[in-house]
Amino acid sequence: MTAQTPQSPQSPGGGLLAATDLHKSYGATPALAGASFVIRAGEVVAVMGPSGSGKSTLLHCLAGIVQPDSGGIHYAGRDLALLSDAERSALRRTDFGFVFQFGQLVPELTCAENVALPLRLIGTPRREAEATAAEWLARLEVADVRHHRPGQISGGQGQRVAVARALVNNPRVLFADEPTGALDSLNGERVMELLVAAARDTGTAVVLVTHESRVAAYSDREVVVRDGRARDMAGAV
Amino acid sequence: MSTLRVWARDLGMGARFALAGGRSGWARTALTAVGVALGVVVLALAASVPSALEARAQRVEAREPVWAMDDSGPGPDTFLTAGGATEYRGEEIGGLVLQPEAGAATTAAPPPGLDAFPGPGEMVVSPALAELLDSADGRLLAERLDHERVGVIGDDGLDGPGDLYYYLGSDALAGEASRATGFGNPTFGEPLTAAMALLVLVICVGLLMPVAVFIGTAARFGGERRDRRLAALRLVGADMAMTRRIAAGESLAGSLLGLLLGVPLFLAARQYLGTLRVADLSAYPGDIVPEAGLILLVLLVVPAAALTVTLFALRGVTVEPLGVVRHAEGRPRRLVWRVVPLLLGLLLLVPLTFRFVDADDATLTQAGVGIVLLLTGATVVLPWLVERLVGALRGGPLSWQLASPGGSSWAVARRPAPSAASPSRWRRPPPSTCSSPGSAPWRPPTPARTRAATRYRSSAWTPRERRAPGPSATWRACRASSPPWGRSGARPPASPTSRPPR
Repeated sequence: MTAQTPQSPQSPGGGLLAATDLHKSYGATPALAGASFVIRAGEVVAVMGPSGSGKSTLLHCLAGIVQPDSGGIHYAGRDLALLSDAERSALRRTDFGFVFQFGQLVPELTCAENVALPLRLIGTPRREAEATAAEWLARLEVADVRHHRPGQISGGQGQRVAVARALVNNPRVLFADEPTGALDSLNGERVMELLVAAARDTGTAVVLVTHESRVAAYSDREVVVRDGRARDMAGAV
Repeated sequence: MSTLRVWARDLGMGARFALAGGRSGWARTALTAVGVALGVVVLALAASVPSALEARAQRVEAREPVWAMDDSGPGPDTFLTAGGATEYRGEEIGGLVLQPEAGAATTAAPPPGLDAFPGPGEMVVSPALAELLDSADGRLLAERLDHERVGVIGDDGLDGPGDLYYYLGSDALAGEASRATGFGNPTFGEPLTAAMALLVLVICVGLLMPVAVFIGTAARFGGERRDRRLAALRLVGADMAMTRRIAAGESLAGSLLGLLLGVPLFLAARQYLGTLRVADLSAYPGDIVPEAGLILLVLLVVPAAALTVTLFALRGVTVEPLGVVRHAEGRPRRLVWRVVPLLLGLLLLVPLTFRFVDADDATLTQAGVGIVLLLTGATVVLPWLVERLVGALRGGPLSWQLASPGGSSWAVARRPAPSAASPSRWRRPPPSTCSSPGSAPWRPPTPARTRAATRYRSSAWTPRERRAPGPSATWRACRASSPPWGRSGARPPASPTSRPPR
């Protein structure tokens, strides 16, 4: 688990992942109205804003999960709009990691199997995948629950397992949508500490969607989304 | 990673989910297994019909006397026979009166199932006939067959365990009797009659259709949980092909379990069938053996069918990382393709009502295909019919509303007025609560309005609502009319997985 130093082509604007003038509506309701965003390798960016402002839509668009109506998203020099579903899936397997408010763990698998899942999907042999998963679980301080199913552990433990799963592939970008939203403050802080520390160790960029300032405090930079537009609080965008 | 390994990994992962899927997963797997097992049993029994009939025909042939063709006269190996068949309370009692022409010194081979010819006045009966004769029901028959019973016919000499048959020894046969030189006349094999063939066909098809529906239902059981799981897999990078393979693996696990379960069930069913006698027919369990080719086909076709049902259930469903989107929601059913199998089935079956005489292969195939198409057609036309019927009724209980085109979203999104009978159930919505465009503002309940609201009057269902009933349309309208910040209103119910992210 060594830090990455990405050397791949950069997106327009110099970032690893950049979005320009994104528009996205759900029916007649605009969710994004010209949002732009950029994140550099290894950077932790908090996307803030009130409920319904379009934070999550922005994150989903950046991750290639949701297709914007217009605007461009470039990741490492590749236009996400031009990628097929299989190529975007491959990106999620190899380059992206996800932590959502509710862990999105597979309830049928044990925690260790959940963490090993991304590795298994890229063809890592089971034993090797499980060994790596065990390392990550230990690092996230949840080694003791590795044989438990997600339904048998607490919310805080579940989020740590989710973080371990998101980082086990050494992704270049981690998308975290309200990762502490369902946790109490103590657990939330611990999860954030572990998440950010692990991401910094591996050189993973983090797009952190939150509406809590104490969570955003872990970031290098803050972007505020309001009325579907993103505004960089450092003036970068 | 080779394609084979990728398939093995994905199918294995699906099987893992099927076997470790918690209570609902286990229930789905168990139901699929039971459905598949029932399908296997029915098909295996159907595949055994030819061999069972063949075995029966051979048994019948084996006990038919071989008539002496030339007029060579009596010999040490000849015997006289006379028919002894009778009927008792609708049951056919087969029998043969035998008289070796060389008496006790005969060299003729005894009938199958007997060690020797019965002596004059002696009777050897089948186990079923012995049971009947010994029972109170058979008292009158016992008076009719009042001979000394000296033994029981062995299985070799009977066409089935329920066969009512006897051999009676005699020394008084003369002119009317026929001379025979042995047993085993191949010309007496009973062909499969047209009626019997059709009966078997209808039974098999009739049993298989509910089994197919059962498997289909089982495949959908716990579908919501499976959807969540597949979405989670998509999130960590599974593409659509992987997702389908994993879903197929889940179904395959249930199917394979069903195959395993089907074997003991088939053996048990075989034993049970040995105790049955239907239309004078019965079969030894040992004779009910599926044809090798047919059983191989069954073993391949049944899991494949379960797999097809699963993949069919995934048709019109897009599994995305954020959830599952069902495209078909609210779309009225179309009659065009549903009526095709029904008409084709009728087209095949109606001509047979005039000319179904021989059970030749072509006719049987036509009848079989026709029956399958007719039943399939009835199955797929019925939902359309129900939808049209309740749509035309324009009202009625909630279940009717849910069955109407787009009715599920309409009926659920439209909140009924408060009921006097259950005041705590429907509360006054907050001012920001979203409601469907056609809904009336909240007013205190009155008995009249309560009755009207709970009936879902047809006047409340405007053509516009019928055209655009989807929850997303209603929700969009709600979103558009709500303030951009701090929306607290409830969204009309829709599939949580189809909710647009915000």
